[in-house]
Amino acid sequence: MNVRAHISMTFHLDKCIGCHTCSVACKNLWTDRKGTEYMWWNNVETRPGTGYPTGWEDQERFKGGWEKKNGQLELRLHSRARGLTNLFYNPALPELDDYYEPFTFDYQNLFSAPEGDDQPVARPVSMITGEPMNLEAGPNWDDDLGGSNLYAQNDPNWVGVAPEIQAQMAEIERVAFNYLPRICNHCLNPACVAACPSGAIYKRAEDGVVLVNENKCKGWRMCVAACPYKKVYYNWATGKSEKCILCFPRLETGQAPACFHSCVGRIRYLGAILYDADRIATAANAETQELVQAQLDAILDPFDPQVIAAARANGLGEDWIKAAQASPVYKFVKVWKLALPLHPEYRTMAMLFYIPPLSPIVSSIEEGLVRLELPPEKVDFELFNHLEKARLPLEYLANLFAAGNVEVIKPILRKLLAVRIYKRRQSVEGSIDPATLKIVEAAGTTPEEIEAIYQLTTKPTLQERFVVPPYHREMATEVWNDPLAHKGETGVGFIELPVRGD
Amino acid sequence: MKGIPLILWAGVLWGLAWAQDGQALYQSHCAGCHGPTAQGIPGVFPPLAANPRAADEAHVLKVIREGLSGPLEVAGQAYNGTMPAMPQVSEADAKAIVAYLKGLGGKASPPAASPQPTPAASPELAAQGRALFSGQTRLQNGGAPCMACHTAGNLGPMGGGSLGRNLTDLHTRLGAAGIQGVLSNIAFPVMRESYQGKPLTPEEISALTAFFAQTAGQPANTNQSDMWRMALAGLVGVVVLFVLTYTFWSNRRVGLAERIRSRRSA
Repeated sequence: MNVRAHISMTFHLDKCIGCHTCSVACKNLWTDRKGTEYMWWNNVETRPGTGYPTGWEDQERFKGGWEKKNGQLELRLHSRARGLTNLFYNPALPELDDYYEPFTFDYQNLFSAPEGDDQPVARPVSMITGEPMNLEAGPNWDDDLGGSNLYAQNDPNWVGVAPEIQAQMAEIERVAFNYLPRICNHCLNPACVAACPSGAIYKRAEDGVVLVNENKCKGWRMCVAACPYKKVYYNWATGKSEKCILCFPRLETGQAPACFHSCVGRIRYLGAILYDADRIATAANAETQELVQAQLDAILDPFDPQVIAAARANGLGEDWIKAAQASPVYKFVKVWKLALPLHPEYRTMAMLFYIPPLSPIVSSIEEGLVRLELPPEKVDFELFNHLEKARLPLEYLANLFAAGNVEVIKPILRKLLAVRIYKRRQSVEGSIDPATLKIVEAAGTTPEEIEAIYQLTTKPTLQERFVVPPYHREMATEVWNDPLAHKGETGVGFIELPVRGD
Repeated sequence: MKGIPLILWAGVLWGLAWAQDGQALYQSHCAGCHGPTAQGIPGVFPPLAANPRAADEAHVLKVIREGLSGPLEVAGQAYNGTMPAMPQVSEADAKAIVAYLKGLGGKASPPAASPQPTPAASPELAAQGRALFSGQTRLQNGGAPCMACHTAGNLGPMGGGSLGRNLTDLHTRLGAAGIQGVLSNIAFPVMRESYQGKPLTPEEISALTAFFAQTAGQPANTNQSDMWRMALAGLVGVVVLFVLTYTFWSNRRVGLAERIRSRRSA
């Protein structure tokens, strides 16, 4: 057992309201520089939809992630020899059109336009060429277009969903969609790291954050193509690639990343987990149907004395073990088994786990049709017993979070529904009827567990949502500087000597 | 200790061999053009025997090392050619050659006719020469075909290379003997380097000579239609390219983003 710690994340999709505060917080903090305008280290997609960059899940086109070849795990992008021949022209790379041409508006014209008969306007201007342009796409162009025959219908996750259900999803009054906020998954088996010819990308030993070393990056952009989530971006101004850094400067000072901290719906949870590094290879190489379970198996119980001993032997501090025990991620992922990684079939072992969304509650099912005259107390029961007729198709959610395995999604939705039904009965009627208790049992849970899930879902404090272990940077500083002097000097002077040129 | 007397001894031997060396050096460096008995070729290469200038050691040294060009009169015959500088001949070797030429002195061997009158250039031989010139037949020792640098006569609409001199009237200028001399002992610096270790064989030289005899007086490219044919072929190629592009362009793989932008549903 090779126990290591990882700062891991959970997003509760049922709580996401699609306000994009996370995206804006990230943009303001990290990517409002020249060359990074089109980068959205954090973005919120509407599902069903095409996402950003457009159609990023189409790995026939973008060749991201890993695939099994003769039992071996290989990059879908290329073999080593192929990588060499594609060094200067990589057809799998997304183009500017797959993102969008970043733009701003000519606001100055509002003030300086000569007097005329019409109100002056602020024309859109390209942030790359500076020329006026027509807006054809943006970072979130399909926002809320859940039933769109352009965007929703082109979602690559419809594979295996019956055409009737797809058609229903496009019908008026039956349209359903959910939001999918995405950041870098800080994978356990990152394809971007494997694809980098310069060895510039690395996974931090202490917390698993995947970072690009901007000094070593040579701009080959193999990581951009290899990342199946398209979360590495190429900065056209500096000629280097950049990606989400999980706000490590904030983590190291005990704060949650900006997108987590600013989340209005409080959907984001962050905490340390302990995992067995020896199991990564087998877990990433598991059969497609077993991928999720194999990944969850690699995450260890932080209360197990054996695990604790192995963690100590590997140099993990008591405070990190304690943080792993208090981690909300561990609870959602391993204890309650409610959260799943996005697209486990990419075999990168994403360490960001999503709690799948429940369908809108207004629907009830009778012969596959919406029946609105049903009394509200019966609606939930109908759905619980007919999950396959939920407005968000199970197969669709399974394609997103379980490599197409519906059986992985079902118990999660049933448990989430049980929590909802139980708490509604309790708060509306004050008592729990036997029918509800039967549902709780059928969902494989208990009133105590439901209470705990409810507490962490609806009323967590900041300290419960974000359990950031102490990084002890002062101890690292001690090696080369007086920590007190270092603290005083932070932000002043040069980290690196200035050099000539750009 | 042992090496020094050896070098001295070698030096003595070398001194003895000097005069004899002069003849050998002359044969390898000069005879190609100036003839085996230094008789020259009237009007093309001046004779060195019975030439008062050839007796002036300083002058000869200078000519060998730096070359000579421009109008010249020897024994009542006018010459106007170019002798390339031959820096590959060392100072000592040049002196040996001068000594040898002095030895020839007054021996005014009559400007004998070229050693062997070239056989009348048969059309087959000329065709062979043309193939060698244009590179259709490889030179036996691996030298570059002449056309890489030169053009001669009508070689089609593109002509030959323009790095070297136009050789159309080579036969008029040098005559058969001159051509053979120049080719058997290449002296022009760039050409010498190119054919270093890859000399032309006598058969090749005679074929090329026949070819040059044929090209003499020929205009560069008499056939205007060649030019038109070439232009037409280019035009047809462009049209074919456009048709192919037109056929396959609409079938190319279009990204989802582009499809959405052009409002084409999948």
